[in-house]
Amino acid sequence: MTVQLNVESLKKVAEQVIDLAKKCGADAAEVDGHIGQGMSVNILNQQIDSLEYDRGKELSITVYLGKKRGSATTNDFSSASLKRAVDAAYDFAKYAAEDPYSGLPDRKELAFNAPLLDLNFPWKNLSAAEAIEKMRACEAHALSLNPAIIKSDGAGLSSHQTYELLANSEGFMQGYASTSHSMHCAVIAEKNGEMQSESEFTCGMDPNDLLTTDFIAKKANQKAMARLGARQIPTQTLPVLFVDQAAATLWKYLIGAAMGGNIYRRASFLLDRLGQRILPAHISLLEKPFLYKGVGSAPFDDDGVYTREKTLIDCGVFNTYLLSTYSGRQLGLPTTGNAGGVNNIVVESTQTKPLADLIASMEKGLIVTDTLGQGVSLVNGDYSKGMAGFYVEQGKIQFPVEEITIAGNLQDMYQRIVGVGAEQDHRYNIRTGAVLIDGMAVAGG
Amino acid sequence: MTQEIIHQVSDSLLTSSGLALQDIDRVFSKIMCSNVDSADLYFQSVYHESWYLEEGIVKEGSYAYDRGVGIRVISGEKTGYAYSDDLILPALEDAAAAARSISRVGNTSQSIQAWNRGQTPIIYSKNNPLDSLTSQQKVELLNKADQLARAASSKVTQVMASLSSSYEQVLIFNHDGSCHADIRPLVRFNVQVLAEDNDKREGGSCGGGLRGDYAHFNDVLIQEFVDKAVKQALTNLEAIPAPAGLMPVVLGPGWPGVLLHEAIGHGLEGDFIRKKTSAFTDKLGQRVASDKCTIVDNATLSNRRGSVAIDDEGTIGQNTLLIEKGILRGFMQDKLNARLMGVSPTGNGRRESYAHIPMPRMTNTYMLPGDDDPADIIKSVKKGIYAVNFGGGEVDITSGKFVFSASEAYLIENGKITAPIKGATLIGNGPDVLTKVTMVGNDLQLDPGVGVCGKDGQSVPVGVGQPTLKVSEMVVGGTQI
Repeated sequence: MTVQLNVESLKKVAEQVIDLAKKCGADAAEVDGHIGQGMSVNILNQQIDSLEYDRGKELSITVYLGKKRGSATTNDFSSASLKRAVDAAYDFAKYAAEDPYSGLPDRKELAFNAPLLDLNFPWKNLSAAEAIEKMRACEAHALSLNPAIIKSDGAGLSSHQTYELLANSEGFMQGYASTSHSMHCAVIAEKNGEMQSESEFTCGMDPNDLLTTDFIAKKANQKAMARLGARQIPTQTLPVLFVDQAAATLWKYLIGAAMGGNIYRRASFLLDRLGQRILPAHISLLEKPFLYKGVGSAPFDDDGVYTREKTLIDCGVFNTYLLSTYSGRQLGLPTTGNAGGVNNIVVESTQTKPLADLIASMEKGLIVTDTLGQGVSLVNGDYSKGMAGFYVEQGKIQFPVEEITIAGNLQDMYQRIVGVGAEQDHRYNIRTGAVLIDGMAVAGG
Repeated sequence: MTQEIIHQVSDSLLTSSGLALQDIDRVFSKIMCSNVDSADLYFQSVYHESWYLEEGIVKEGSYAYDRGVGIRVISGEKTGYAYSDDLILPALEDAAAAARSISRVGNTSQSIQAWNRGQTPIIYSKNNPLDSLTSQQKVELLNKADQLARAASSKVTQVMASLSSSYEQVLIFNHDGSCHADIRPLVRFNVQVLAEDNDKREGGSCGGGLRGDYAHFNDVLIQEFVDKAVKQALTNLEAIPAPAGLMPVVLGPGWPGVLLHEAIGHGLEGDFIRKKTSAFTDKLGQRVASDKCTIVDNATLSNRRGSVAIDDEGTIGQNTLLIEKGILRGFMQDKLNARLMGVSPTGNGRRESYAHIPMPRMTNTYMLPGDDDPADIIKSVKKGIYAVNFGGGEVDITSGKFVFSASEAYLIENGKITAPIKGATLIGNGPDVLTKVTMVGNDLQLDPGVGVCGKDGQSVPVGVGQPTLKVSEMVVGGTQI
């Protein structure tokens, strides 16, 4: 599938809006534009369940009256509607309070010479018919592997292309196109009235990098089968091995707590911890915004500021906050190019071990494949979540577990990391191996 | 009931874009043929604003306008969907052709002769809430909340407050010639505080809203929201570690009804039942709760956040009995799943916007009151917890396992509420947790109007509610073993 993105007209609209804002009397203005197009199909029981075409656009304007700020968003690019949006943003700014930290980034920070990253790999000539056939085959393969106790929960493909534009009244105007493609397969294993659903997915910027449909079908099948017979275990203290997405999620909280917005609001468990050791010394977290085909790669952040490589955690020591222009000014520090978040975090350890060895090292313990719920406080690090996974004894997986919780405090949990897996999952913005944490409270029946 | 809304919404969505009913006919004529079972066009526009205060000042206000049309074509179990945010005939025809591509070309059927305008029940105001206060008054309301929170305790170090509203108009054309419209206002206020004591830091938050205007947020209500947020933060500063393991749990009235939403609500949505992926599949007529439990999904409550006069397919919102004295009586249906299952739609076909396919979704889901005095429920517990406020929850539809996370909870020891405990996640099994409901209070409350439900990446506003109730045992995810 190749999409036609009308980039030139988006740029013209952005210029028009900035001009309108200046004419209104704005001291400065910023425009964030977005256009996107895509397709997704979902197959259920060999039939098309849904075929969806997406095509959308959106433009946001922020105007500054001195240190006062207002913003507006519209998806109607008619002159009248753009004027209404600018007027609305201007009116909001009039009623906002003076905020000493408000304003455009310093000119020298703006990515006037943004690096040309290759983020755009359209899925050429992908027709709906081809996508449908591909996912039918995927679903059929998943069911053929163990049809007696497996039924389909859907197999899908989606392919999207977007163009992001950022412009401001300093004459800055930069944009880039990027693509994302994914396929997933979900199956339900059923035995003696128990049902367990599992899925597997593959994703990437380049369709050529996706795993095969046979692979994800087989993996989904294996995962669902492995969950049959899941049960509770008694309440106790155990080491817990976070794998797959559960491992990436564990780091997501640390990154959230390092974001400048949470620091200046004093709503972070990493407040006043800069320069201190918060992880074992063998672990470092690096940000690498320019990784070729990295899912988080980007040339500039949401402020239009250069993204940059940095060491967030250096041999266990908390090395830098993650700052936007605004949160940086709040804290008296320069921006780190992190408006909107991080771009590819890579978790490194000098002591990684193969996942199999980590499992083998557990006398008794849990493997967490999925966590459930939102029971985490970034304010103080308190952590309590539902989980699904496996019980391990004498280095071997014994049986699947469910309807139990794991709890602790993230500040302790990070210090108690006793192992990091060697195999990294590149499907997420956070690239990490499995993470083994000692001594967590497990509540069960 | 009124048809007035259709004229008003048609003017606003069609006429202003230069579209006429003949254009709608023309789009349908491109879609309908013998292989197509049904099709609809969903026009929507939303005006939205929000105001945000932190560090004692209103830092920003923002406005958003979003409008477009979604075109859906259904053939058997297949759904084709495309949308456009350009309201011009060529864009509509392109989208129609894309949506239509799921079905082979068949004999073209007759075009629609005359549009039959449906009735819309009046259960909320049709006024635009964005205009219900001046900008100055909105700023003052937030400043007031800030002052009240800081005055409530010297331990409060941070106050964040937000005020937002939206004005949504929808216009739905169905292939059968029926046409429906609705105007849906929605307002929301929230206050979040941070309290500090030596090295301890805790947050608290509270808020509410409804389908109405800003007049809802009078001084008394703002004071109440602020007091609750501050109390929650201060209580948590004193909290001891939560116990871990299986124990009796008493849930307070109102928002803790998120239990019902997660434990049984999602599992009773018609798509999961039709696809047989829900843990409740084939359980109609069977016992799934104790005989003290009667649970409904009610879209018809006046002004409630989860209410819809008509759903996003034009079906009039209903009060649907889900569980009657413990017996499973009904599911929540949209048109597609109702047709495929041979039952009637229940007015639960909802969608986030014109860019999304409708699905069976909850509206206001709550348990009817029982006979027990809430004080007696607490007295009946020797050792357990009493949870009065929650963050969000989540459910695995297929296994039925669900969680919800307490943000304000207390120990119950020998029938008395004692120490506050730190937040903990509760986990249970949907199909049997309600069979363990042994006491139901006489104090039904609905939540203050804060619920947002996410499903397949689509968010819709919902309501929940329940009386105080006791679950005889549930896993509490604390740290005290």
